[in-house]
Amino acid sequence: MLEINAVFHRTQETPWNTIDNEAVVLNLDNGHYYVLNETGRRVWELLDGERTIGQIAALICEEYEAQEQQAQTDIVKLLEEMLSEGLVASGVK
Amino acid sequence: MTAFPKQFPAGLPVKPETLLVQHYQFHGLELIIHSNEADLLSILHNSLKYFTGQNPVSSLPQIHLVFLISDLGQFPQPLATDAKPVSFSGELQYFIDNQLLYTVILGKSLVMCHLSEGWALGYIKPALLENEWIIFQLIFYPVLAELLKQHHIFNVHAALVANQEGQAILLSAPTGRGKSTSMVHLVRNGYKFLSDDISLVKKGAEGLTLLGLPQPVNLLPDAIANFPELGFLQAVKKRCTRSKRSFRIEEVYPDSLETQAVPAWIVFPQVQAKLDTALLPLSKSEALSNLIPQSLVVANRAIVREHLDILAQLVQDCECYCLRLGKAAGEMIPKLFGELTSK
Repeated sequence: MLEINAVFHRTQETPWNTIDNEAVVLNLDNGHYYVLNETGRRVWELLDGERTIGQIAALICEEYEAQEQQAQTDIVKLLEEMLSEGLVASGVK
Repeated sequence: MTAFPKQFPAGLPVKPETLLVQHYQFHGLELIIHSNEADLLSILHNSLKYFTGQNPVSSLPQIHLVFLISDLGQFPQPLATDAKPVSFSGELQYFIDNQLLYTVILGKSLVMCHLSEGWALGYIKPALLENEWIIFQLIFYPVLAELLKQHHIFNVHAALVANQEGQAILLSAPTGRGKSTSMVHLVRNGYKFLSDDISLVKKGAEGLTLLGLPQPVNLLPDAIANFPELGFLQAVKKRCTRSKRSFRIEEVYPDSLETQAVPAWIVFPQVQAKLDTALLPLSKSEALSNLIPQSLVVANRAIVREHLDILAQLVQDCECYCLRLGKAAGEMIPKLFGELTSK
């Protein structure tokens, strides 16, 4: 389980693009691509290597009127998938 | 004689001046193809015929492609035996060493290309000459596509037609989903033909332009049966009765060729025989998701981001639809696209 104070950043070489408020992210290692819905796209944008999971969850709650606990759970789940795919890395950028 | 690029690797098993040469003016570039085998040039010419040029045009950037029918053992800069591919794409493996991109095709042929110098050197096993599809689609085009990216021209796996106003319709789908059949339905109803399978997109000062590569069109016998004027193809004998038949579109539909068009619509055909034929709106993110696996090959990581950005812009610039190919497709396709393009 990831710590709420942990910081993550998008790996530098991962290409991505925003379209219709969603994001398409490419994994260069396996050629797979991922489509993130609007909130997923916003989380992706906020993974700047400065904000903690908790801070990102708080921002998502502000912008999308979500419950903070649910937002944290969803973000942790998303980050675990992204970590296993090598799309994000832990720590300050 | 056409001079080889300065940085071309030494150690060729043949003298450059003994090679046959063919020139093409290809969307603002000079393609110069060298080979020791006339049959190979003939196969490539079948797809590049439209771009034939008589002499080098010195003002155009050049791309040199040298293909030798030979054994791989004579390759001047062989791959290290422990080299690891940077990516796979179907039958192709890509290896990269600084500016040199190696493509191994079916484990039997090897092409090395220098991305920034703009040349490629390929060794092709003689037996592969029997298969034109492998020569063009697997050996020649993937390497050309990587070199075109250096000139900001990117691959889109789609058939391409345009209306009389020069507005393009891209028809993108995996093989066997009705892309070529839909394209022929449109061309026989007055649309211009640019590509059957390989289209290109270029970003310029005034936005994106779609570029054609008018190769021969390949249709299965079932599809040919939709078009009485193509009946002569049924008589073409093939080893397998299910094999595709090939024809040049301009020979059946005169004055149908065009070379470039402005992006307007992207359509993803899908066969659903029991339902009515219809054009169904598609979200832009779905359209981009459909386009990426068809068009984007991760061979040279340095330029993938630009390719993705161009595909995303292409989707943004177009209206996107799914074409459900069902009942009465032959009647419905011209009608539906007529309504779409006259909006």
